[in-house]
Amino acid sequence: MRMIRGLRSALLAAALGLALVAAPALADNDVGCGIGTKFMEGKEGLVSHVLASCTNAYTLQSVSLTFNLFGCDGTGPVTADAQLRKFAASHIDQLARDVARGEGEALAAFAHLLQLPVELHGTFGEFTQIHFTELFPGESVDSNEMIDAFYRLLGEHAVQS
Amino acid sequence: MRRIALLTAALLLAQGLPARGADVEDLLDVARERALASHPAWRALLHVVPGRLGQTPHSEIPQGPFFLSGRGAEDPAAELEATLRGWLAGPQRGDDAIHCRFPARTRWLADQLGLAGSGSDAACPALDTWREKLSPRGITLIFAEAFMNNPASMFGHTLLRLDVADPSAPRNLLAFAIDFTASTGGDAGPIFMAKGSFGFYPGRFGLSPYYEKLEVYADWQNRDIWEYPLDLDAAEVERVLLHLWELDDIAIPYYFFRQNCSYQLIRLLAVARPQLGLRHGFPVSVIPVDTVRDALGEIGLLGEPRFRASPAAELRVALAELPKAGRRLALELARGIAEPEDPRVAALDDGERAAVLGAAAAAVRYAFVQDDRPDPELRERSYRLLVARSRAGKVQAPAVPRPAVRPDQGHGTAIAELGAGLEDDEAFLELRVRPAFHGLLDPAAGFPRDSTIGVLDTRLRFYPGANRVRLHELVLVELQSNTPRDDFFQPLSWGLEAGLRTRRFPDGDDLDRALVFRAGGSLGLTWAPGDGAVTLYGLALARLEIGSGFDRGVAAGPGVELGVGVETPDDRFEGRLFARGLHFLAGEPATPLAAGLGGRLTLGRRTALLAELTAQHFDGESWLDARLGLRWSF
Repeated sequence: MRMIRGLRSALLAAALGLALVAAPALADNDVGCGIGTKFMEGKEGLVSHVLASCTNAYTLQSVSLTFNLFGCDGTGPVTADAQLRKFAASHIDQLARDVARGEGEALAAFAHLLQLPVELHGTFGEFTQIHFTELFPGESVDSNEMIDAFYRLLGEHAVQS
Repeated sequence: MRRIALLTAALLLAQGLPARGADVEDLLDVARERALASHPAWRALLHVVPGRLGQTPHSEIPQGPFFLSGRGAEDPAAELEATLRGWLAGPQRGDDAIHCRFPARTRWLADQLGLAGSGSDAACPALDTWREKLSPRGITLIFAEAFMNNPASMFGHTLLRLDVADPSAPRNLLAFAIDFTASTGGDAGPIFMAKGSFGFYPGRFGLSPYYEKLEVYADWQNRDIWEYPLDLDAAEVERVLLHLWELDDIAIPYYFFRQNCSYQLIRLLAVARPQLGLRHGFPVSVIPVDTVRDALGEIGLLGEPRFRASPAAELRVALAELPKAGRRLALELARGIAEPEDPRVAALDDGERAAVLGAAAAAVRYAFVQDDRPDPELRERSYRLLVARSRAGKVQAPAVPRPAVRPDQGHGTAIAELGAGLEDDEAFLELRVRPAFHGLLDPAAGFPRDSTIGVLDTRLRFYPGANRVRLHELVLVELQSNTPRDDFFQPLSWGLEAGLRTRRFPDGDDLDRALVFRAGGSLGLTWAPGDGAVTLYGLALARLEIGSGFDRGVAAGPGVELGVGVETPDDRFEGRLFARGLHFLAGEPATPLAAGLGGRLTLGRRTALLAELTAQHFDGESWLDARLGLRWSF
């Protein structure tokens, strides 16, 4: 129980720190720069990758040494919250799988983006696993809804403790 | 005297004073005296390679924004001069300063000419923000293996990762990966091949989060991935990073077979170790796994490479670890035949329930990703399985055993073979060369199982009796994928081939040898009952042969091939047995039959003994071809 309380306060601190950093970015609808949708979010039919040598046909825009490091307009920095949302949008399926089993690399990276100390990652896994259906209330949850649910969950638990 | 001049110049620079013309001249004199322009490090920074076939050394990057001198691509000395002059005369602050645009070059020159602590340290806002954002602790070379059932992807793919933490930490998912990518503008088919082969596509270096790369290679393509942490010190990592900045938006012609993605990553790493890629060279084409070997040979490893199993490999192990009834239940759940609320699920203890539901959810996602038009119902099924899984508590999923042999430890990608044998009653000596890549009787360790691809496989035979040499085979390309099926994975086996082969045509009492051009395809099924030591396959064939030996010049028709493969667990011995029948319906009517057996015994890391015996029947005549060979791989 003490562990859970410790986790809650750490999460809260993390979430607060993040909110301060991220406040200006929360309204940023452009986060993810138009990343394709995933399994959990529903997706277009995947193109079969038939002849896979080491060449790739990408649009010119995505081949850049700076584009992915900065905001979608190519200049501003990517905020912590934007980074979290971009990661979640890309790895929503892996996150759902890891949350369901209470651990995993994607969840660990997510916890890192929440600035959660490594010692708390195990407890964090259990915490999210217990709240799976709140984080993923349906089969077509989108990653932003999941993150909002996550913040909401933190708020509720912060009030209770 | 010159020393004094140099000292003066350095002092002036150290005080932030613009250098006078005379000082630059003195620095240039020193640079010339020390032959800095032909120093391996300067050449690496300019991507200069030794000239081949009488060419002078030149840069692989075309003349353009990468060079300050109008002759920089051909003349490293001119570029050195232009850099030094521009740097000392131009603006010393701001992103356009020479040392901000070309930080690796100017820093190297500063080190060589004793200018450290001078103008090269003035702030570069854009570069500094970029560096701070990346702040790499090390560099890991990423190698993606072939994806299942696709021999065309067997050559692999490489990336570099700028580690943000310990090489094995999950945080590195968030690290940035460097790749070199061709912009092909949506071309396809033969145009794509032709343009790609002759360098018509521009390639560029790119950075994107490692997790996005994993999304493509691990998640969608189900490739196993190896992560090799490279033994580079902080200064070397910094040099690579600064040089990468110099390559921002620089277009370099992309050649599929030589100056490809893996090659350019080696050229990038060469600014840390100038000998990279040059000691052994890459004779014909650059195969990604060979660049891994080269990098490990020149740079070395910081620790044991990490093996990252693909979701398909994890699923295979998760299903294999389940008891029989559990496996059946997991597959029923995955197929929607059973529901997560099934009493058989409820009856399991937490550990078993977690394993069954986890495997079932993974199987649903695998099916979803594999399918181009997935059933929308799969999403709901997956969701319900995950909800049920979340209620079974924290139970660790079984790990995929790490392969005993890494891709860089497999056999050499080129082989040469010396053999002797009997063709009917005529003795021959044989020389075989195959520049790439992995064939049926090659040791499978370090290579993806069940797939083979051969390119330009060539056999010359010398007949001492007739004192005659002739081309026996020149197979342009031959690939085969025989992935075994089980109760969940149900791939089709398939193959393609094109090339010149020898066919013997009865002519009176004799059998005349003649080359025919042969193209064919196959489609079928493979099984590996038991522990996988034995594989069985059956293939339907389609075959076209063209040659003057046929009265009508051409023959085509369907066929069937059946075969068995046996392999000892230590991979020392491999044996194969096959029987094939064709029925030419179009062109020349005929029913050629063949059956044979072959074996390989590994002698050493690079050597193996081969034996093959084939019986053929064609146009009323039968004959045997027996051969013993000694093979080297390199």
